[in-house]
Amino acid sequence: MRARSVISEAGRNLACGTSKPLLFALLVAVLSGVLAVADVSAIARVDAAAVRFQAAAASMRGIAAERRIDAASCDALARLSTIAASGALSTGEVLRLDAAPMTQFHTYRVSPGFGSLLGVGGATTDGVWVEAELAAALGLQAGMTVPTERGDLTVAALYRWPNDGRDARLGFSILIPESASEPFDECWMSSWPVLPSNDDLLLSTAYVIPGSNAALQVVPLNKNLGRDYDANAEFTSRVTSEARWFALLAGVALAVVAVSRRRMEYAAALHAGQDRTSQLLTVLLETLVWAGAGALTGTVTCLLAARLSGVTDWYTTWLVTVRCPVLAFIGALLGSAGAILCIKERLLFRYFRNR
Amino acid sequence: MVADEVSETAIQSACSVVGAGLSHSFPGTATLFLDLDFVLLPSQITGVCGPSGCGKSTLLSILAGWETPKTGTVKRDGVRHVGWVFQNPHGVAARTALDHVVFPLLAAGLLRAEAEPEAMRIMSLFALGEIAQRPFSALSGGEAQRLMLARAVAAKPDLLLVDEPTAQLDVTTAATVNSVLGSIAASGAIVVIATHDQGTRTVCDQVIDLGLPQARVKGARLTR
Ligand SMILES: Nc1ncnc2c1ncn2[C@@H]1O[C@H](COP(=O)(O)OP(=O)(O)OP(=O)(O)O)[C@@H](O)[C@H]1O
Ligand SMILES: [Mg+2]
Repeated sequence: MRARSVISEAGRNLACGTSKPLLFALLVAVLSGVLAVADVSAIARVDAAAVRFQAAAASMRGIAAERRIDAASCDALARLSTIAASGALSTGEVLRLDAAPMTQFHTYRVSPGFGSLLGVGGATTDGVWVEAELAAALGLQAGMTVPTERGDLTVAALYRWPNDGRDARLGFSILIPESASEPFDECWMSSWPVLPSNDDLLLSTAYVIPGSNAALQVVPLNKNLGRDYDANAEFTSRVTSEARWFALLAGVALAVVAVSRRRMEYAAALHAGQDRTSQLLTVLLETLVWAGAGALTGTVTCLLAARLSGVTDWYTTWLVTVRCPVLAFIGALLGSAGAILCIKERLLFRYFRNR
Repeated sequence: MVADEVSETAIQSACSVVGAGLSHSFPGTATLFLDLDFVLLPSQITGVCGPSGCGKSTLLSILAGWETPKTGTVKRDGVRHVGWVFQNPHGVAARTALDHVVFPLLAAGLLRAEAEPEAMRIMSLFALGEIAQRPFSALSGGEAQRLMLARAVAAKPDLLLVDEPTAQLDVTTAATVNSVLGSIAASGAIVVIATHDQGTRTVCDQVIDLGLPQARVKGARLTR
């Protein structure tokens, strides 16, 4: 059979509805679309948990080693690609403000890098960072100057430190950044995803003191959430992680149905002298159209779902979930090819024998 | 006339089908036929006659090689393509009658533009010219039956097996079909027709009569 005849036969079968292209395209679209959208929503749930986790500072980890932390090394951790922010911290002396001489406020000395952990990375280190609730209570705003027992302090920035299970010390506190060369007490880092290998890097910021064998421990800053949350495991073990293989199966099954409902026609075509290659090509061409239309609809559905789901990274979510329609499409092609190769001319004879 | 038109399409081939000592029975049936001998040659129409259930369709399937006879052999020489027109017409509901006849021509490598006039020519032999554009689902039983014949002819078989071609036809249409079957044979194909239609029987060059008691006992009487 000539290529042009293969194309024209496939075209006629589609146009007059012999291959039921609308029905099968719809089935591919619905099946692959439902699986893809289910996967999008499962990913959105994992993503929301991760966002909550990060928002609660649970992706921050730290070590405490009194007067053993090298602030420069600690700040430098943030330059590594796997670490988002890092900084060193030491407890400072309490501070009295002129406006409230009876109250003692906790202060902490922090390295310049520490601001990136609090989201005030761009703020000047010329001045102090005040926790937002404390600032509200005192009526302070960034840029203001506050008279204290240690002289005038400029409020360089405000930082948020809600009471949600994270290390409570920084709540209602004042941080005083300094580029001190003397050792600090703690080094904190924030990384996403949380990688065990980062812990070793964190430990490397502590000076080794011969004879001090107290093992340093890396702890999560939020003890409520930070203990054994593994975002990667949550993602790979989501309910719909195998959805794409079901989509592949659905594609195969639909194609097998599409071919076997026309098996007499195919057996008769072989009897009329059609060679297997052109029969295979005709079937594949028809499948290409209905499975392609269905998968394309599924792809667009999945794109819309990813965009509307509000996930942090809709594009990656789409790339992951679009595998459902793509595999349904591939499954349909494989199923068609497999099913058509099972058609035998003898079928025609057996069919008429058994009537 | 018709014969000349058909001969243009047929493949002239030196082929033959020789049956020797053929007997068959199914589990649970009596012997259908016993010790049949026959020679089928191009340009000949052989009728397979007898009452319903006597084994006509079974003999055709043995000739086609789809059923193995209980005893005896069928030797097919030079038969490349066997065409079978079944007792019940079957087709693709939404495709036109013309498409059904065009198909074997496309399969043989013709382009649609070449195949359509050729298919129309074959269809007009079977008085199907008028209904060429109708979908298969809209054809009457007799039209569908003739369409199956036209499609089989378009595939240019060396051995054409036709099961009850005139069963659903009126006398005039049956006569048309019978004369076309004659022309197909004249063009060089071996034609075997299972029938109990007297009219069809008269166009046959030889008849294997399975209905005769002798056929069941020993050998079929070949009548000419
Ligand atoms: N596969 C089978 N197994 C068992 N019996 C069968 C089988 N096929 C056919 N028969 C029987 O063999 C006999 C001959 O069947 P066949 O179809 O050849 O008859 P026929 O002469 O073509 O009849 P008709 O004129 O009604 O078409 C019938 O009695 C039928 O029931
Ligand atoms: Mg029969």
